[in-house]
Formats: sequence, structure tokens, C-alpha cells
Amino acid sequence: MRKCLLLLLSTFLVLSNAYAQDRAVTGIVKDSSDNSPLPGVNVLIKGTNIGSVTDFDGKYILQLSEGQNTLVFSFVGYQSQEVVVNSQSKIDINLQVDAEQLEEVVVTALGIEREERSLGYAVQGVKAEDMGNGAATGNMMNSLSGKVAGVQITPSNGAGSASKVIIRGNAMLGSNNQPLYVIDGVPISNNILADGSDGDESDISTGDGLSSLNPDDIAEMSVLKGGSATALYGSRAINGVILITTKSGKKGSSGVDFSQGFSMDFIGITPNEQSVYGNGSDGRLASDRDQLGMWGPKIEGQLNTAYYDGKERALTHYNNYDDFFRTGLTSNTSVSAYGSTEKGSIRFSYSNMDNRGMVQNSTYKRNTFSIKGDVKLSEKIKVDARLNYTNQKANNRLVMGSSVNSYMSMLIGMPSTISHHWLKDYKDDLGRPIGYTNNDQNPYWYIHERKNEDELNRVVGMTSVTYNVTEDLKILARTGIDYGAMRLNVLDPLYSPWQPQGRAFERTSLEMESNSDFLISYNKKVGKFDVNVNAGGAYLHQIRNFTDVGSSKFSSSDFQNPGAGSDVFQDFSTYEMMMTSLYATASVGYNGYLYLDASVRNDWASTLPINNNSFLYPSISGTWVFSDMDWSVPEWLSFGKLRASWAQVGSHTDPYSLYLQYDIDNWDHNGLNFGNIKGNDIPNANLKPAIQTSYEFGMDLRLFNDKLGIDVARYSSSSVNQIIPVSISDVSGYDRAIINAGEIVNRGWEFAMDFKAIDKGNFKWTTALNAAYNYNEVVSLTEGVDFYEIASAGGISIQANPGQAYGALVAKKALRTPEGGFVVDGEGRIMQEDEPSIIGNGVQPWMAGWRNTFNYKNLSLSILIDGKFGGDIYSSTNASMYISGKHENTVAGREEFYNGGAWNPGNLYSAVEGDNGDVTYEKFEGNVDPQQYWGRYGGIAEFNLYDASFIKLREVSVSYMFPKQWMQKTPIKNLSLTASAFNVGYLWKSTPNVDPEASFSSRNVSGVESATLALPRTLNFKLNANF
Amino acid sequence: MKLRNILLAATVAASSLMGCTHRFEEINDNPWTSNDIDVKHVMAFTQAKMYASGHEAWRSSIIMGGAYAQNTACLYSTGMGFTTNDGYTEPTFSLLFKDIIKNIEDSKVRLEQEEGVDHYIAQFDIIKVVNMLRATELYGDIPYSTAGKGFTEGIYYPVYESQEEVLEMMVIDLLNARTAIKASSAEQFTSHDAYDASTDKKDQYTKLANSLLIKIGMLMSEANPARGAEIFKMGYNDDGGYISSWADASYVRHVEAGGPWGQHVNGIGIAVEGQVGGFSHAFLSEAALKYMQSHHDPRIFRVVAHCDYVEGVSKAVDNPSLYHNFDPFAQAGEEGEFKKVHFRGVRFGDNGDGNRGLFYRKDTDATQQAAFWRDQNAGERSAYTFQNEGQFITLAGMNPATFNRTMPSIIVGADEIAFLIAEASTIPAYGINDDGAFRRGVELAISKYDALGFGGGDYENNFSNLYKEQTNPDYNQNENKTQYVNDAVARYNAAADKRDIVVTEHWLSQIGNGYTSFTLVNRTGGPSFLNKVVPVEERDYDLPSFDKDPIENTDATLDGTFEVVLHRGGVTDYTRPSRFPYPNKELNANGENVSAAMQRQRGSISEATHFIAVPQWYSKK
Repeated sequence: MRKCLLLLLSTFLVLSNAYAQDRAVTGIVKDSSDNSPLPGVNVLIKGTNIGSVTDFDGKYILQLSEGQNTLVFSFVGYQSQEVVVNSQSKIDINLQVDAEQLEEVVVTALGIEREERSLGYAVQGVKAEDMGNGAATGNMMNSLSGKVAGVQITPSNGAGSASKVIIRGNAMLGSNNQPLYVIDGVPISNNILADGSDGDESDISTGDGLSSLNPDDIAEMSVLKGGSATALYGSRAINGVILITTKSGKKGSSGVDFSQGFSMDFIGITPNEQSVYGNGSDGRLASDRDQLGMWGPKIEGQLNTAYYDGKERALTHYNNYDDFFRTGLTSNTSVSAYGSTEKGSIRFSYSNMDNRGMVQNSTYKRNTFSIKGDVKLSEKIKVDARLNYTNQKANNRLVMGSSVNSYMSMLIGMPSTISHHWLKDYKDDLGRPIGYTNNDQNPYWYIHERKNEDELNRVVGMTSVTYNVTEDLKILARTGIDYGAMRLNVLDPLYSPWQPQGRAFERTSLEMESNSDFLISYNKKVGKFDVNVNAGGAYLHQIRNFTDVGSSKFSSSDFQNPGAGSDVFQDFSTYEMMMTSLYATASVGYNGYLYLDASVRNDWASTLPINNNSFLYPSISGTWVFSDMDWSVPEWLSFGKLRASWAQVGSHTDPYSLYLQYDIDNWDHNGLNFGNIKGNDIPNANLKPAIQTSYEFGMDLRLFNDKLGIDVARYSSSSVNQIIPVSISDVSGYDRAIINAGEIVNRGWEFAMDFKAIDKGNFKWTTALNAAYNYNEVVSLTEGVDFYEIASAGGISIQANPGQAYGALVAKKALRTPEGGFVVDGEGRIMQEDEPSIIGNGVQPWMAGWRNTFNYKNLSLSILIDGKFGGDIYSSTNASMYISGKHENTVAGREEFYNGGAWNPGNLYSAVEGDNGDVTYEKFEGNVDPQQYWGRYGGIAEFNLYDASFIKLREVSVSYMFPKQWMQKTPIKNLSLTASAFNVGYLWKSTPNVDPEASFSSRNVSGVESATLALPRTLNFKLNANF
Repeated sequence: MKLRNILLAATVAASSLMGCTHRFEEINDNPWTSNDIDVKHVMAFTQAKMYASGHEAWRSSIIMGGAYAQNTACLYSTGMGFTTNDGYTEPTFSLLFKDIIKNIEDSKVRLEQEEGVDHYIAQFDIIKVVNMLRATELYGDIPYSTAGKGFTEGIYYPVYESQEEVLEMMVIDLLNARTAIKASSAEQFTSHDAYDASTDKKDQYTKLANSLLIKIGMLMSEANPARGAEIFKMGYNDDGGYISSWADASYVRHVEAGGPWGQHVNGIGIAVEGQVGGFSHAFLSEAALKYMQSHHDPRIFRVVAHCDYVEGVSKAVDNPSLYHNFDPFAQAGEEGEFKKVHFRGVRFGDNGDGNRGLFYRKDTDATQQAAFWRDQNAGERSAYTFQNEGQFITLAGMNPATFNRTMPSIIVGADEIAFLIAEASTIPAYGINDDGAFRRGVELAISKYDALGFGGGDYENNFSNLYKEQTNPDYNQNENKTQYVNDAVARYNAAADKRDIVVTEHWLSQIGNGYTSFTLVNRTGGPSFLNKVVPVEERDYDLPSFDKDPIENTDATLDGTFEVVLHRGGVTDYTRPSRFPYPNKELNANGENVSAAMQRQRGSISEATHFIAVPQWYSKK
């Protein structure tokens, strides 16, 4: 893509003259990286303005006069090269890519190309080759983990699942702080149909807007972080923008790219259970299947029949976690073909991803087709177009969270004296489940009998027409559409645990988002001033139609489908909104070192009251490249830039938020029909748009001849008048009231550094460090509103409270004496306070990533270590392990207590209430039953709260580029092999038994772990070949 | 292209964009809903919804209410063990306030804009009292005057009013409603009404209002009997009458439609049938069952059955040919004793070995527990099949033939009012003496299943006949019903503590309704054989100890006892809970007001006593 742009620029700039010449020199100019011809290269005779430009095959011809003996080959994006001609009549050369120059032109909002040096805000890009292989599970965003300062990425588990992406902290109180994804200038939908949650009905993750796209189609991703960077995208960009540029046909060449990846997912962190005591209660073996705890006798291999099936076996401890999950296997095949003529270029790609999940019968298959091209209809009119089609089918994706359908939840709840292998005999002759609980819970029933299938057909397309009115003025018209049709089918067949009568339902989501915009751009250099003016407008239309139909209570095992049950349920809903926008931006540069940008945008949103649906917001930024002024700077300073920006961004809300709605059901109740208020949110017909104001200062330094680069940014944002559904008392009749409320501030630092530590001969060592700190504070909500509940999970309320950082974890604490002792009941069990209070915060304010890359000849080694710091996590897994007696700490006290001795863990006090209500405390000296003590202990949230900080070896990657001479006699131009490991392991963490990074949801559920399957360790091999 | 053309093109483009806004209002109107509705649909919804949630009823009525009241027993230890689980105790709060009260308040506001609909508003006021009475009975202090007004009046954080204030406000609402209804004509009432009765609407609602006054008056029997008596008499003495027969009683009929999570089935019934996520463990308590057995209660054939659990549905084992020596009145053994009896209840405790352990086997060092449903413990053991000895080791369940998804929900029962009048007659402060009330109560309690169309009639006939055929040739079910009433009246007449007899029969009559059972026990302490605090000696249980399985081996020898844990005390230190806790969400969202309410109700009781053990205002202290 860059080459195309640079070629265009060069073509306009080159002068060609015809003078009398004495001798001719010809040759071909090629790209040294892939040996492809370079068209548009300036070939100048040194000391003159006489020259030529290479043609589409990279060929040039030039006449030299007497005394002219040196040619200068230059091309934007490449290092210039001088060649002495002497007697040569044919000079072929290879130009080296100039990485610094390539960085200078970046794509900003609305696809406007800008020199990076002129930007007054932070834009951080990652090229495809630097993204690594975090996308082995299908979601490209996972590849950015630890690579971009200020961007926190939390993957979900499983191929094709969604990822939670937070840029510069949580700015919005609502349930979503995800950025806007823009592909080739057109936004795409980032809606998630099904996602994990806490509770019995926790679901699978069906993926997000990016997870169904082919990572190999992506050439570059840029992260726009601040308000100035994103202001032109309007309200949807309030959480930042991920700009994605897809690969195009290469100008002047044709070829085929092929890659084959193969990855293996290994089970991550699993709980360490005590293996001293067996299943049962009160030190004795369980006498029935409803006793699932591990409070039985010592495990000594004794024969017993205390199993769900009554068979006699020796009492043994089994590690079911590591054994139950298998190695997940994923094959990624991608092939693309590209070609070009002088009139245009085209690229076609196909990819196939075939995943075998870490549990039997869990599969994910994705096929993508993509075609992208551009054509010059005339010298002034150019058309670009792209079309992506995705078909993905998933079967039995892993259910997240603590659902009864979650394998991890089942394994945590199952006595570890039961081997999961026994449960493979999971049903009887009549087809009924055989399981380890009274309702015959059995993971193999779900593996083999439960159906949970989803299929997505998605088309993402765009086209744009650019009309170059003059050299300075062009008009762009662009439209794009993202249409997705997803179908989810679930069948809990007859006899299923928890759904014994059977249940089936089908959910469909038909989703369409269209974006159209136009842009008039004017660029003019007037003396020392560079003027860039853009004005345009945009139109957004989103519509989602959702149906959920099904039934339960099947009458026959032969008819088990959404229409076969006698208890029918159905739900239909629509989400439709439109927004139109007008905007303008202007940039003035002075002499290449001073730049001033300003923009203004006005949106009209259909979701706001008709008389208050217009909102305008401006931005301004300035840049000073102090190293390039007409003054002398120290030799060690290669480049220096200061930047500053200020911006506002407005936002609206969801549709149908203005007026009370009623619903009536269709069931006949002895001649009556029931109707009621629909929903539990109080509407608000007086809503105003929300506004986020932000500023940013930054400095970009390159030192010691570009060996060291440093970028520092300081930012602050304040979001006010947010349209949020605040939690209100259920007694009001509603869950939430939609109001304009609140102010959230985010202030932070971002730091990025790259250092070419060694560059000697064939050996290079580059180290890059990025770090970010984000201070977040919920300044206010609204008068009388004390908190906003972001989510609740695992019995913990995740809240935004005034004066606190977003994401406070709220639960009831243990009841303590004034001196800090635990107040206990008559049995020595710790009591809890009446009311909840803040016990921690689930958002990590610090993050850092450190990447080291070593190159030796054709071999490259890259190591990425990253970490997050400062947040807390509540672990329901640990809580459950305490309660069930699986936790290693619960061994304490059993020996003494079961052998008739006394056990008292200490620091326990009894409360003695006086007649007047006064309370005094006496040391509790009685014996405490460990089963009772630890059971209560596990139920108190603060005892299962851990520091979520970690340092992780994120990625290790080794690449080898085969020498070109090996392929000289083959059609292969380049061949490389990469082996990488992702999520290799934690170097340090504080959370026992669980993965602090794993998430069961991509919503704003930070700080709660709920039977969450740890992120797998992924080993990936990838072969790339260019023909 | 000239600049003029460019500007023109840009203007056209911008104008086109602006033109797109003309559909803004249209598309922001949800096509699946309406901004208007006839309140008759809402009234029917607010009447039935309280009784139609299987999710809520399983938790509140079966798990919590039953175990707290101990006339039934559910083996979920949260209820049995006096522990807390927000997921179990929150749904009633949510159902009443979020689903029902806001619709009532919204409808009243809409009706107030019309003329001549005072009777309609009065109906909503009575429906509100029906719902809010349950709320305060379970949770204690609640917001009453400001509840459900989040949209209509913008009250997001209602202040909690004391239970006493709430009850007084209910009385005012009922009196006003009664006045409005009496002033209206019977023809004015809509037939789109989910409260059924065999009388006309005017008469029905007048009697319902008076019966609610009687209930409220009696709810004050412990806290303020003098005021309670005044309120009681407002209903008892009113010329409009109160519910005195099943023809007068308001009830909600249920239909099959809509599924377990809809708003049409009977919530308790569908949970008993195990259709809200699995078998619900709805059994009889040992206390209630043994009382029924010892008094030859004829209802045992209607309300008790063994459960079958096939294809995910809990049904009554209704095939008499499976049984031998059928004797529903034979009682299970006491501690240290194992008897083969047909109906055995669940002992009061949270430990499986304790609450349903049958015996201890020395040879396997294991206890044998009773089966939940038919053939649950059979497996490869033929002696344990239901047709063999299995019928003697299966727990006695709430009979799904009677308690099921289409059984009616009684708003205020004729038997309940009769028992309350009978009870008031035993409390001097109430100043009444209705000698026949107790007899009426027992008669109405026995007759209600047929009178209101409960199922289970066939089961009752078949199994009473079976008992006659296999065990007691002289048995006559109808005669026994009469005999039971006479015996109960005789016990009443002979008792020094007549109120205890009334409460006991009242308690039995409410089997299947965990809410009213809980309220009765909480207010009166329940039958005298229930304990407020689990006594030390009842926290463990001595199972009979055999050298081998006495079911499979006739020569098994009883050689002592084996002590197992029965009750662990929960969070209340063995004290029977007096209330449901306020939901966690309410503690967060309305913390200041809830905190004030909790402090007010605690009085001088510190946090060292769990809040669910803090008596309510109406509780027996």
C-alpha cells in the first residue's frame, strides 16, 4: 500500500527534461527485499535537474553528457543511492527500504494521509510482520498484546472469540469501552452476539467484529488514541480507533503469497488441589452423590464404593484438569494473488482456518475470501474497491464463566477422587446421562450430546471514487457496508442435566451497518506554508434484527428441535439507528517544522430527542519539530518534536431510550391477554449528548543517528454528561434510569522507546520498550446517585463510585473486632458485615511491554515480555476450592480435628451483646470444624481477592528467511519459516490456581475470575512463501 | 472543474445527508413495542404475575419458605441450613417490585386521567396490597408509599418505611378502595380480570379487601394486638363481608401456556414438577408428616405422594399396583430405629446423613440415605427397586398430582381467614369469640382441593382405596374427613392452649404455600413442637447401626447407633430465620435507605447477629 502511495507522489514530483546527450545508460531498479522491479524511481544525474523515472518494469534509460558521471537513484521510502557510471552502459541496482522514511507518511482519520512528523497527537502503528502470531486463534487484536503503549488487550478463550480492547483506560461508564475498528477508511460493526458472563446461563463467545477477518489480509494496524486523533470519527470513536489497512496488489509486479500456519494450544494454568483428603464430609466418605466436597478421610488407597456409580475402587486423587483437556490444533492456510497494470492493481486472497478445540467435538472453521483492487479510470479518476466474504462455523465452542455447561466449572465442582475417564461412560441404555451428581452432571454428556453450533456469513465491502480536480484538490466519495447473518443453534436433548425435558432454540442475528462519506481535500504549498484543508460529511445506518425462538419439554427423542417442545418461547427485537455528520479539518504547516491542525464536526443522531439531537465538537493540535528549524542542534539529536492537542468528542445513546414502552404477550390465559411495561430501564426524553474533552502533550526524540528513539505522551481526558443507565433501587420498579450523568477522568503517561543496541555486520539487536500508566477517577455521577454498577459476577459488584477508580470491586467484608480479629459465630465460623464495601479494584493502571529482536543473517529471534500491574482480581475458583475442601490450605486443621484433638485457627472472637446493645468481644477458644471454617472462609470475597499483577513471557518467535540463492531455480522469490510460542508462561504472578489475565467476557467485567479457563499456551509454526 | 461546481457538489452532498434525518423519529420507535396499552391487560398481568414465576417460586416458596416454616422440606441446604444465597432470596423482591408494582403505579396514573374509574383504581390498590403484603412479610421494612414510582414520579431511591407504617398505609388503601368499590355498580367492572371468584366483582373485591384487613389485623397479633384488633374488626365487622367460603375466595387460574419462565403457569406447581431446571426436592417435613400420620389426616392421600422422575418431570407415583401393604399413616422410626414405612419425611437439618439417613452399615462404613424418587437407589440392587423395598425408603414428596403447573393460586384462602378468626378468638385483645371458626377452617382446609379444582382427585381416590384394600378394610375416606374435623375440634376443645391447635391446623393447611406458611410461623412461632432455635440435642442424629444392609438382608443385626451431623447452624447460630435478607443489589443501589432500615430493625441487636435472624416487627420475639 505504501509503495503505491509513494509511487503516486513521486510521479507527480519528478521532472524529466530532454537535453542533448552523449551516451545512454540503461538498467533496472529493484526492491532489495523481494527483488521486485520498482516503478517510479527517480534517476537523476548528480549535480543537475536532469533525470528520468523508471517504468512499470523498473527500467530506465538516461542520456549522459560529457562530464556527467554519477547517477542518483531516489524513491520515497527507500534509501537514496549514488552510482558512479564510468564506462558502464547498463546499471542495475537494488534499493534498500528506508524504514524511517516509511514511517513518515501515516494514514489518519477518514483515510487522510499525513506525514507523521506533522501530527499533534499519538498514532502508533504495527506492521503485519511485527504482529507475531498471537492471532493463531483467529483474532488479530491478540497480536497487539504488549506492543502498543496504553492499549490493554484481554483475549477470550477459544478460536474466533472476542477480545476486550481498552485504549487509555475506561472512559465510558456503559458496558462497552471497545474501540472503533476502521478498515481501509470505513468503519465496521463490532457487535457481539453471544458472550461469556457469570451465572448459570453464561454463554460462549461468538466473536467480535475483527475475529471473523483473515489476519493475513492485514498490512498494518494503527492505534489512534487521543481525542484529536479520533475526533473526526465522531461519537463511536470515543474509546479510540484501530485503523486497519489491508493488503493491496503491489504496483509494478504480480505474484502469489502463500502461508501455512499450524498451531497447537496447550492447557494453561490449572488449579493445584490438595491430594491428602478424599471426597466426603466430616472426615468420612460421601454416602451420596449430593456430597461433592473433599472433606472425607485421608486418601490411603482404601477400597470403597462411595462413588456415583457405586463401584468399588481404591481411593485415589486424580488431576483431571490437565488430563481432560487435549491439545488444540489449528491449521491456517492463506493464499493470495496480486497483479497490476499501469491502470491499477488487484489482489485476491483466500484463507482457511480449521481449529480443533481443546475439548472433543469443539471445532471452528473459517473460510475467507477477499478481493481488493483499484483502477484509474482516467488521469483524474481513481476507483478503489474491496470485498470480503467470511463463512465461519463453530461447533461446541467453550462455554465461559461458571455456567452449568462450562467444562472448567464442572471439573472444579467434581470431587477429585473421581477420574474423568470413568465419566466417558456417560449414558445408560435408555439414553439418560450417568453423572457424578444427583442430576447426573457429566462433561462427556455435553461433549457428545449437547449441540451448540453457530454459523456466520459476513460480507464487508467498500468502494471509493477519488477525483483529482487539480493537483491540489481532490474529492473522495466512499461507501461501505458490513452485513452479517449469524445463526446460533442450541440443543439440550432430553434428559440433559438441568434441562431434563430437553430444550432447543435458534437465535438469528441479521446485522447491517452502512457507512458513506465524502471528503473534499485541498493541499497547497504556498511559500513556506503547507496548507491542507478537508471538508466532508458522513452517514451511518445500523440495523440489527434479532430473533430467539425455541421450545422445551420434548415429547419424543425423535423430535428435538426449536419447534418440537410444548413450552414455546420467542423473542424478537430490533436495533436501528442513523447518524449524519458534517466535518471539516484544516492543517497549516510552516517550513516543515511548525504545524497547526484544527477540526470541527457536527453529528445528528436519531437516538436523541429530535429537538436536541445535534452536537458539535472541535479539536485543535500543534506540532513543533524543533530539530528541523534553521538553527543548530547537537549532533546527537537526530530528530525532535513536541506536540500538543486538545479535542472534544460527542456521543449519543442506544435507540428507543426516550419513551416508556409496553409489551403484550400472545398467550391466551382463559380469554385474557397480559400486557406490561417493557424493559427495566427508565427512559428519558430529555437526554443530551455526552461530551469527552481531552488534551495531550508529547515529545518524539530520535538520538544518536536514530539509534535511540523515545516517544513520551502525557494525556488527560474528561468525559461528562455521559448517557448511562445508572443503577437504581429495584423498588423504583426499574433496574436502571437512563440519565446524563457523571464525569470520568483518565490521566496518564505513555512511554515508548526503541534502541538499536547492536548493528554490526550480520548481527543486529533491537530492543523496544513501551509502558503506560493510566490514572482513572470517577469524579462524579449525579446528585443522589452513589454508584454505577458496571457488572456483577461471582457475587461481586463491579462499580464506578465517585472518588474511586472505575472498576471498584464491592462485596461484604468479614466482621472484625476493633483490633482486627475475626468475629465468629458459636461454631467458630467467621461472620460477615451487613453491608457491602469496596474490597479492591479490577482495573490495572500500569502496563508495560519489552521486546527484544535479534537478527543474524537470515535468522531472527524476537522475545516479548509484558505485564500489567496494580489491579485486583476476585477468584471464584479459589472461593469454590475453599468451600469444597479442594484448596491446599484447607488441609490445615483436619488432622487435629478429625483425630479428636482441638483445632482453632486463632484470631477468632465471639461477640457478647449487652442488654443495652453494647458489644464486647471475647477470644473464641472453642474447637472449630475445618470443614465449617473453610467453607465459610471461602464464601467471604476479600479472602479470595488477589493482586492481579503479572509479568508474562508473552511471545518467543524465531524466523528464518531462506537464502535467495537457494530458490534461484524455483519460482519462489522468498521463503521463510517462523516458529513461535505465545502466552508462554508467567514469570511472576500472585494469583494461586488461576490465570490472572484470562477473561470470561469481553464486556467491562474486569477483576473477577469465574471458573475461567486459563489462556492456552500456543505453539505456532508458519511457512511463508512468495512466488 | 470550477470552484463553483465543487461547492455545488459539496452542498448537494451535505444536503443529502441532512435529508437523511427525516426518518430519525420514525426509526427511533421500537417496532416490537407500543407506547400505549389498555390497562386491562396490565391489571391481569399484575394479578397473575406474583404466582406465575417458577424461578421465583422454586427459590422462595420451596427452598426457603418451606424449610423456614418446616411443614415442607427442600434439600437445598441454603434453606435447611439457615444460610444465605442472594440468588434464592432476591427473586421475590425483584418480581414484586420490578415486575408488578411499577405496572400498578403506571396504570393508576393513566387511570387518574379518566373519569368514573375510581373502582378501577381501587382494584389496583387492592392488588397492590396483595403484592406488598407478601413483600413486607418476607423482607420486613419496605418502601410502600414511593415504591414503583421510578418513572411516574422520578423516585429512584425510595425510602424504607417501617413495617408498622407500611401496614397502616395498606389499611388506608384498603378502606379507600372498599369505599370506592361499594360506591360503584357491579356492571362497571371489567371482565378482563385474572382474580377469579364465584361471586360478582363488586362483592368479590369487597370481601377481598375485608379479608386483607383481617390478615393485616392478625399480622399485628404479636407487635401491637390492640391496633391489630381494630384493623381486624374493620374487615370482620364490615357489612360487605369477608371470604367465608370457597365461592367467595379470589384465586388465579393458571394455564399451560408460556412455559416455566412465562407468566401463566403456577410457579410453585411447575417447580414441584421439576420443570424449572430439574428435580426440586419438594418433600414433606418429618414434623408435618408425622403429625398428619398420627392424626390420620385424610389429606395425606391428596398432598403426599412418592415422586417419579422420568424425562425430566416429577410426577406422582400413581400406579397402586406397585405397592404392597400400603399404609400412609405408618410413621418412620425415631432416633436409633429403622422402620420400613411408605411415607417418610425429611428431618430438619442440612446434612444429608442426618436429614434423610436411614441407617448405618458397619460393613461398608457408610450410611444409607432415603431415595428422592422412585428407583433412584435401585441400580443393580433389586431389593431397592420401588416394587420391592424401594417404596419403603423413598421420601414423601409434595404430591405433583395436586401441586402442579395448572393448580390455582389462592389470593386469600377461605380456610386461612377462618383460621385467623379462630386464632383471634383465642387472643383476648381481639375481643371476639367465633366458636365455629376453627371447625370451619379445618373443613375448608380439607375441602379446598376439590372446591377450587386442584388436581389429585384421582390419586386421592385410588390410594385411599389402596389403603383400604391392602391395610385397613374399614377405611372410608369421606368418613375420615368428617372424623378428622371432629377430632381436630375435640383437640381444640380439650386443649389448654387452643391457639396452638389453631396454628397447627392452619400450618398444615398451608402445605404447598411457603410464603403463608413462613409468615404464620414467623408471627406465631408455629406449632409448639417447632423450635425457634435448634436445640443442642437435635443438631446430631443417631442412626441405627447394622452389621450389614437390613433391606437386603433379613438377618442383619442392629447393634447400636451411629451419630451423624443433622444441623450445622448456618449463619444464624441455629436460630430459625425471621426474614429474607435484602438483595445485594438493593444494598448497593439504595444503600443509604436500606442501611437506615436495617439499623431501625436491628434496634439494639448488633451485627454479630446475622440480619436474617433479627425478628421482624410482626415476628414472635
